[in-house]
Amino acid sequence: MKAGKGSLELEKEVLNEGLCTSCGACVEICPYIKVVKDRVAVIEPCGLAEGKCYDFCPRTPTDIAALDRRIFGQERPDSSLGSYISIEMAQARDNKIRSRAQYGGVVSALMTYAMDLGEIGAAVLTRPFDGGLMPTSVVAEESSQVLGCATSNYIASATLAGMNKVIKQRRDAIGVVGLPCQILALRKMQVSEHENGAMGVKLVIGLFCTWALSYKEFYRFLRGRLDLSLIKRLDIPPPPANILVVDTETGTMEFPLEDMRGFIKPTCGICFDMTSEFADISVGMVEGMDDWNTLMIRTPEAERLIEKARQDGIIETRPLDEARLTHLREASLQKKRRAIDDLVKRTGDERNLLYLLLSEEERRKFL
Amino acid sequence: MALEKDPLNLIITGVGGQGNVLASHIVASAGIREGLYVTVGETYGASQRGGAVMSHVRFSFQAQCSPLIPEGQADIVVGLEPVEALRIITDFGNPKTKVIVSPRPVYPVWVLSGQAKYPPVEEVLGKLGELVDEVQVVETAEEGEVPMAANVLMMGALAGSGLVPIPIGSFEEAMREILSPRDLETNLRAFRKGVEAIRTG
Amino acid sequence: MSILAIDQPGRSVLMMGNEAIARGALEAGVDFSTAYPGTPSSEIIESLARVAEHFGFYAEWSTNEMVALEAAAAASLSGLRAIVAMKQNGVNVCSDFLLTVNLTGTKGGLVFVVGDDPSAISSSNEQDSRNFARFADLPLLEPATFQEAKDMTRWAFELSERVGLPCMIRSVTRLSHSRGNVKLAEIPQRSRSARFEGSYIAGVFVPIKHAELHQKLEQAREEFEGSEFNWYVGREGARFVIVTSGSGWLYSREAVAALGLDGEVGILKIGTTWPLPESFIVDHLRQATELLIVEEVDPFLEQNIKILLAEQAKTLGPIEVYGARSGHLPAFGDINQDKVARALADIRGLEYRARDEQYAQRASELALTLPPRMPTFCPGCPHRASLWAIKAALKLDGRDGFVAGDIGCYSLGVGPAGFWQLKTLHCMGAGIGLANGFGKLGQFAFDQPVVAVCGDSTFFHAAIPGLINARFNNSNVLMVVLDNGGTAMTGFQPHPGSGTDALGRPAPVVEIEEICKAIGVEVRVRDPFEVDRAIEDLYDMLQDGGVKVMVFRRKCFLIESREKAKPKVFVDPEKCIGDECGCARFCSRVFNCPGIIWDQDAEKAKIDEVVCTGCGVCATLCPQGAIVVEEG
Repeated sequence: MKAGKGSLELEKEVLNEGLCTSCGACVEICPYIKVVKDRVAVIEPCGLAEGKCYDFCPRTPTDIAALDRRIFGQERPDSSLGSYISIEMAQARDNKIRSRAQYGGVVSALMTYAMDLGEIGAAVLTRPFDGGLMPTSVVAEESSQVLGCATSNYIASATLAGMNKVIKQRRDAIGVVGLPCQILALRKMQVSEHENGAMGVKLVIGLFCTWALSYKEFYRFLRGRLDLSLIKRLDIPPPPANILVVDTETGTMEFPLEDMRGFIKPTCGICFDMTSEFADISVGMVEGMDDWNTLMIRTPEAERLIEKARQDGIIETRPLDEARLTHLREASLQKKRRAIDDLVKRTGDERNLLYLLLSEEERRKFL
Repeated sequence: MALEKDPLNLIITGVGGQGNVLASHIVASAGIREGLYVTVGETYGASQRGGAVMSHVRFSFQAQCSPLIPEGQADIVVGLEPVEALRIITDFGNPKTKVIVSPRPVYPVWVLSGQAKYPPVEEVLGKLGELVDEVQVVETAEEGEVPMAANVLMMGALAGSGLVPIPIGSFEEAMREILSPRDLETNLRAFRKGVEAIRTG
Repeated sequence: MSILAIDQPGRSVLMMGNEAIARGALEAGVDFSTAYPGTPSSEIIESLARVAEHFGFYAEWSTNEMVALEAAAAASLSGLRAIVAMKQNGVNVCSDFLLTVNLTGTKGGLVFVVGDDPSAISSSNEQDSRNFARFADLPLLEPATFQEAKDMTRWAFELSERVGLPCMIRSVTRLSHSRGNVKLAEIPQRSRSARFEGSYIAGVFVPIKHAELHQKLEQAREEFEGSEFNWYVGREGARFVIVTSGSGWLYSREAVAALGLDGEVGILKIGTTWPLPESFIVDHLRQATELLIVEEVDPFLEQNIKILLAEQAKTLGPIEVYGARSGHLPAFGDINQDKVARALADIRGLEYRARDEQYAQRASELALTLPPRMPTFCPGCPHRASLWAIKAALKLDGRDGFVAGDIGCYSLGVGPAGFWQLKTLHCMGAGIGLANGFGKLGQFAFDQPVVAVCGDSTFFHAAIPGLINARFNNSNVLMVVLDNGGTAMTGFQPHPGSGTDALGRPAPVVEIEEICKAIGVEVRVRDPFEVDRAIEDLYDMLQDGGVKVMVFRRKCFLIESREKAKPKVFVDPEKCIGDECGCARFCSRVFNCPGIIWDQDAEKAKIDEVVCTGCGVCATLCPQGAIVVEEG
């Protein structure tokens, strides 16, 4: 979709409004836009009236239904969860993977498997706690590197900048793991009229996400309290725990989740997507079952891969019980309602949802 | 000896880095050998970094001249760069000024950045022709080649033109005194090429 | 062999004004010479240093002008002859010492040469340093020709010894950097030895010493009355007299000739400008009714002449004075023959037209069609990369941070060459000085990050006290030291961090980062050519408060390219996407290195082989990898 706008509008409508998700889709395309930590800025206006940056950005106007049709060939049957073929529970069979992973290890297992099969040559991943708090973009070419990127981190980093860098150099198929905003941007790139290498991404795994933390504030909060170079793992256990758990080399600390709310990126408040609705495969946690992941299979290619993985003993799957499914739907719906609320507050107009171009019908479902 | 016009005013102009100063040093030293009073006025410093530069060289048998040629009083202009040659003529030229110019442009950064346009060289030479009666164009390199010691080559053209009452031998003597032995050969060759170039027109 | 060392008394050679001054010092048998580089004075000590070993005297590049003057004064107090050279701002820097050494007096001849820069061709301000002579009650000489530059300097040492005061010589750019005929005299054998005796103490019996100073100055004035550096030419007993000094002499003479007034007016040329040779002047003005004062820059001579006229009103009667105060000549900028001729013509009711009116009109029209030529950083200059990194880091930071600038090649960062980053520019050390003040405004709701840039030479010259102040007073400031290995703007002279001295011998290195560590501030050293890394580091350092120093170390490429074989750099036209989204002519249009041209016909970028120095930074920045660097 050619938008007819460029870096000036990107700056005005997204960056200066605090709506940037730090996905990195606009970075490494040209010398004018840079990212450091999770801060994205237009260093110098490029002088062009329209360009890729605005087109790729997940916070510029996006026709959701059209995107659904392009990716999945259909309108979404489920307003709350998007298009999917099945939703199950899954875990990696390999103990090594599971012990390293945050929950079920499914993402690591599937990426490694796809690589071993030769379906992708590399995976663009995010490695947390790489000597500090800020995660770094990694291009993994073999399984140990994939495993090195396991575990959650709650800071959005510019994964797509890493992807943009690598698709300039590689011609083979690659895989990407990302948050819902990053997956949205990636799909916008794939359907864009602007030439780019995103079509080389053959496996898109999206993670569930409720919000992400802003690096600077979170960093300042933690650094006064512990040595950040020793962090091994961050975790937010399900309610009613209401805490953030920080595992370090020298022990574990807990912080009230309330204290974190101030560090949530403002842009997360208008995010419409909890389950990475545009991915091939979406993966999240299973409340109460630390060893398992919720697995959403959205595309036929994904289904084929997962079936093979099942058969080859890479992963094990089980049906997801009704209660959990309902809960998932509810949670996703709640995020959408909050997003619409937040958007209407910003624009003062029920019809203007900034980046969300929804049909009249769709919109009314959430108001 | 006497000069046809006393003082004789010469301006060598170009862009910072083109070697204006060395060129003026050579012709001035050559002039002193002939018993002339010579004054050379330069612009140094910030202008060296890509800005416009000019050397005012004034010859007299009567007295030391001030280092700046008054408006419209340039008798000869040697332009190491075409736009700079024209710029100098607009301030210091008159219809009788004799111009020797290299047609190879050096683009100012504002032109490189698209904020200003560099006129086609033919247009620049045409405008020069509007303001002065005589313009001699001297190429400082063959097509596609990189010019070597263009400033000294242009001094050769000046020497060969006969416009200054200084024999070629004095120019070469001055070069021997000023240049290091390492640089002398290349520069003498360039100088002689310039002499040849202006004589074959 | 350097032109300075030519041992042929009576021979006429072509010399730069500065070389003539240096030669004058040599002919006076100078023992000790110091300076801090500054346009238009740098060549004085530079040329002396080249022959110092041969003649057996001392030459030094000092950390700043104050230290230079103090070191030279030490030589003088020990009975040696010493010369100090500086640009106009230098005399501001050493003014405190100047205003105390005038009271203590000196012993061996001490000459300090100040190079003013009218129109600020290479300076951040314009000033008339002659005012310092009057302020400090010191004798002042103003050479008007290249010959005088030499002869006055030689004589100044003798004068200084006779009156026991430092003697000031004031030159201007047009004299210092122009070349002309100079007849050489003998270079004497030197046999002085240094010994300190007595005491030279200001601060005690100051009013008495001040009175003594005035007496010494009067002694100088008596010498000036009969000086060969003052003369009168033109019509005897003329009613219209031009009174001039310095560069005004040659312009006045030529203006008079251009208007055909040789037989009508007189020109009174003063070389001993302060104190005025009063009797000499009065003698030549007995028949005068109108004066035109011609000088650069301030109406210094004019005002002093007017005081003299007021005092001598009974003897001279009323005299109309034209000059800067009457608006006939400007009290700013430099002068030239045209300005003097126009003033003369205006006063005398004559017509002065340099050229035919129509021709001049057409010429002006054509001039407007020509693209302007702004100075920029040299191809390969590390400052381009450094300022781009600073720009990016401040933009990413997003709090409207800005840069306080300082004096050096990087001063060009006020303009497009440095992406308009420098928002303040004053004098040496003012960058960190201002920044450390801005950094204390937090309690007034000031939240903009401030970056102070300064060069390596500037760091030693003036920035250290500002940095210490920042630390001592807990200011929030990021200082970026642009270390390119030398004092680049003035010709790459060595400084305490360079490793060589004025004579090219190895010298101890004082390390900038060690000084910073000793002050107790965080310091990082990076190569600005690694641009992305530099941006990230700067951004990180901007996040927290306190004092931080980033040293961007990369040798001036003009120097480096002379020492190494130049790699071939060219653009692969297949890969260059030029105008398209993803590039939009970044290298030629934004990065602005003069070695990169936009080929309008091919619509691709192109490297100008003559201008390019092969640094390769453009290749790292090209988003398409279209620029190729081939070693050797």
